Amino acid sequence: MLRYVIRRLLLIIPTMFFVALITFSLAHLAPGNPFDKNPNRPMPQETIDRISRFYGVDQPIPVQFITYLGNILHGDLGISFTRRTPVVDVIGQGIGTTFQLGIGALAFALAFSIPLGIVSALKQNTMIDYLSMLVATIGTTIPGFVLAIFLIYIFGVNLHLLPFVGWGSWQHMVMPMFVLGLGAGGFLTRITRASMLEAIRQDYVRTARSKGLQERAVIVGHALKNALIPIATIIGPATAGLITGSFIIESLFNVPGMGRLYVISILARDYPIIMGTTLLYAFLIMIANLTVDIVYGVLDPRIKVA
Amino acid sequence: MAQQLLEVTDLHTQFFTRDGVVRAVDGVSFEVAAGETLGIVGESGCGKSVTALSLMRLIPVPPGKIVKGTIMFDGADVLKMDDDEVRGIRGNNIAMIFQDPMTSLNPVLTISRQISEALELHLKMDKSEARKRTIELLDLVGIPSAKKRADDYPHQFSGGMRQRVMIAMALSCNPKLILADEPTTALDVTIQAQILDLLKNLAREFRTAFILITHDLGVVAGMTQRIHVMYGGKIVEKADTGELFANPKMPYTWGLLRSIPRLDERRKAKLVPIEGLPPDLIAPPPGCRFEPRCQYRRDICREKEPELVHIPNSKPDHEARCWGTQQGGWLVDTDWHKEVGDTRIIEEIKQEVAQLPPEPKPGDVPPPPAI
Repeated sequence: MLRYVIRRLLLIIPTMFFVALITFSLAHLAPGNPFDKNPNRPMPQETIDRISRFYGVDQPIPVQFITYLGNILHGDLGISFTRRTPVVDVIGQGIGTTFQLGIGALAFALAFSIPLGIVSALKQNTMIDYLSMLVATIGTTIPGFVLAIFLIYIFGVNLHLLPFVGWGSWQHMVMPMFVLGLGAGGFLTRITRASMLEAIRQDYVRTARSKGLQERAVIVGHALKNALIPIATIIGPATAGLITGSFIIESLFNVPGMGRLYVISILARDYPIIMGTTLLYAFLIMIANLTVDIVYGVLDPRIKVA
Repeated sequence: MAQQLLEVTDLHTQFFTRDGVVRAVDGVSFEVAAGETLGIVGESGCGKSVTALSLMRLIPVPPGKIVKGTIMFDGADVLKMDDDEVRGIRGNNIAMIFQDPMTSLNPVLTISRQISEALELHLKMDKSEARKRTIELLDLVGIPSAKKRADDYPHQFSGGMRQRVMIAMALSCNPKLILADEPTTALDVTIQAQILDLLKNLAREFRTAFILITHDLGVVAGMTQRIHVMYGGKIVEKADTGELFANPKMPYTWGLLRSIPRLDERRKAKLVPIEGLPPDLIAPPPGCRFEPRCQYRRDICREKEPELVHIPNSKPDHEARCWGTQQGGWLVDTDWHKEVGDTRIIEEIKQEVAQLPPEPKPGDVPPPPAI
């Protein structure tokens, strides 16, 4: 088990290398340059040259890449072109907020989706089932930005119940977490319902009933334990997705997190930030996948992790 | 009649589906005395399993429903009990062994957990007692190094071993009745014999009554004292095992006997299958349910359903549901052997049956030995 985890952790290194290579190439392939002439703020050519030299942008791209890799090994992600502060600090400021938002959204998604999925499986083809499937379908089909705009309009602009710009108090968190969590939760509700429906039809559930167990023990102890396996598979990528996938929501609600930072940096061609954020996202996704694989082995004895 | 352990009267279990009402069990009555063994035989889809599940009220509701009848177990009607009372019986007084050991054990729980569960629930054992007893039970059903294997998961066991685990589970609370629903169908032939032997010996040792449900007359031959043949949701013939093989009185039973395979290369005759399919239980034939497939049928068979009655020229408790073999019928003197060709298998089964232990007298049931 320990060896497996170590091997998987070591595998992160080559993966990260390729992520860095691809991102670096794509960022530089995109037309434009961070210090392009700006008609509103004209800069003399020698100033541009000096800045380019300072940030190393004048070097050939392969040299820039190798320098970048060398710096990463020292824990140096470079200096943001637009903010003139180390990328590590810039990301450090945003990551906490993004995590708060992501974890909050995940907690919300799990809190409603798993009970809802279980109940609708147990009460299949009843009003409860139809209602929860309606909620799940709405959650999965309405894009977050559409829902966000509706909510901002209703609760923010018209009712003045919730603030819709910025971050800090719990009131700020309600709408972004709800919007972000609803999509993932809708999907999880469907998965939970489907795998629970499958589990309760299995022979071993009948065996459990034939032992005289209480219905609750049959459902929780026998059916749910099996149903959790497919659910866990989904929760891993969903978590990574919630943490990394919040840029639209962060931009809409003006949340000072990594997602918004990412969008701004791409528009500004702030290479160090783009690289740093992408690498961090890649790392988070890999850790999430590893966690799922470990949890998988714990939930399902048939899968041997090692 | 002496007090029976189980007395099923006029049981009707139906499934309400989109296509109509499936009359899976349609007026079945039978009884089992304490310590007695009964075989229920019939093709797939004739209501055997549904009968067994009905006894424990394990029919999924909806779509299923036990619409009529009584199931007197140990003097109380299972169908009138509330859910808690039924749970008190399940696993404790009546235990069930299911057909497919590959899917009947929970893949994510250890063997020991799955057996201990019932012990903790019904016998109020604590965890360590239950574990100790579990290992004893696994030992008893022939799991080698039971102590080590108790913490294994089902996927680490072979099919035969899993069925042994199921048997251990069924025996765990010393039930008065075990329902074994096709316990060997999913196993290969060599393992079948081992499992059947184990089941027979343990049931005898524990003085447990059991009902063996199977589609294979060869399986029940050496196992049970009496046999009920089911067809289309009804019992069509009831007799002692020996009597049924020696003197079957229903063309369907004849068909079943002709379709028992045997491993004998000298045999020239092919197996004789029963032509056709079992009846549609949504709209069963109005007369005898076997009539559409019966080679001896006459007009009356299609018009009117025969009752399950005592048959002339047979033992007193031999009953069959057939116009032809009833008093005055046209099959009373038919020698069914002549229609078969080779009957050596029947002779062998008869010998096997002759070696069965004598039936216990009702009321003469010693308590199960402590293990």
